[in-house]
Amino acid sequence: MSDPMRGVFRGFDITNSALTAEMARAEVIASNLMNMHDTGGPDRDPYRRKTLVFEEMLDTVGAATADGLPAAGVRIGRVYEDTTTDFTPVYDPGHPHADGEGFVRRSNVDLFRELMDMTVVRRSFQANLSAMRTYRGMLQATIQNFRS
Amino acid sequence: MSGFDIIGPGGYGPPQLRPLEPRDLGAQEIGGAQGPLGELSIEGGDEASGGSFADKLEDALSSVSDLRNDVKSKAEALARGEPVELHELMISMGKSDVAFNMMLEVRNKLLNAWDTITRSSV
Repeated sequence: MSDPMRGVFRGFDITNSALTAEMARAEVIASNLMNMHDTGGPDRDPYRRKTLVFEEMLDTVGAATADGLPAAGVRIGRVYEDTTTDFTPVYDPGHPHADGEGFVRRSNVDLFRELMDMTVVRRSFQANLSAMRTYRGMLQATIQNFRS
Repeated sequence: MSGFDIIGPGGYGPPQLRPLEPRDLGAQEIGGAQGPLGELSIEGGDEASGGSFADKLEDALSSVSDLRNDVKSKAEALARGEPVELHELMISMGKSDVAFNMMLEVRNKLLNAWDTITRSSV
């Protein structure tokens, strides 16, 4: 016997996956900020900025419509390393990691871009929370409506 | 009209929308309602879907109880320090809340029906 309550809570499950994905994105941004001053060393590269991709999950368990499977949320795809920007060399001969000519390679993390991404992630999180609150409010209002 | 009404790839204009069909909105077929309480269908006593009304009610109650146990286990795991996402716990609490309220309303309706039937003079 299938779970009688499943159909009602699809909205909750979708929002759950969205919130998990946003938290993961916040964690990646935090990791970038944490390592942004990593200048590497003589034998390894500085920290390369990480970014990640979201993927749409399809509901393979539920009913399939003629056009395909209905969306059932979002999930994290791969975590990529940002290879579009190079490490910037900075002249600092006193640094322990300076090479022969006195240049130190800095990580390609841009502080202001990460702060901006952080703001976007926070707003997305709030939007998803608001969607969940709306969904829950609709369900509760439906139940209360039939209270005689 | 202005040139902004060009529709097509790379053009401006209103987006091409496929007309919505009832199945997109989750409309149920009449005569087999799949509401939250599952197969409490209009036909009633449908042998093909298995079980009587009492069985289905029992299933609904057990799923409400399952949701509550889910909340309990997630809260305990979070308190123990296991990697449980906080929003997962809150969403489980929301689900349990909604399911419980729904069950309460169904119970009230059944009791009212029972009262009405027993009070009606034969």
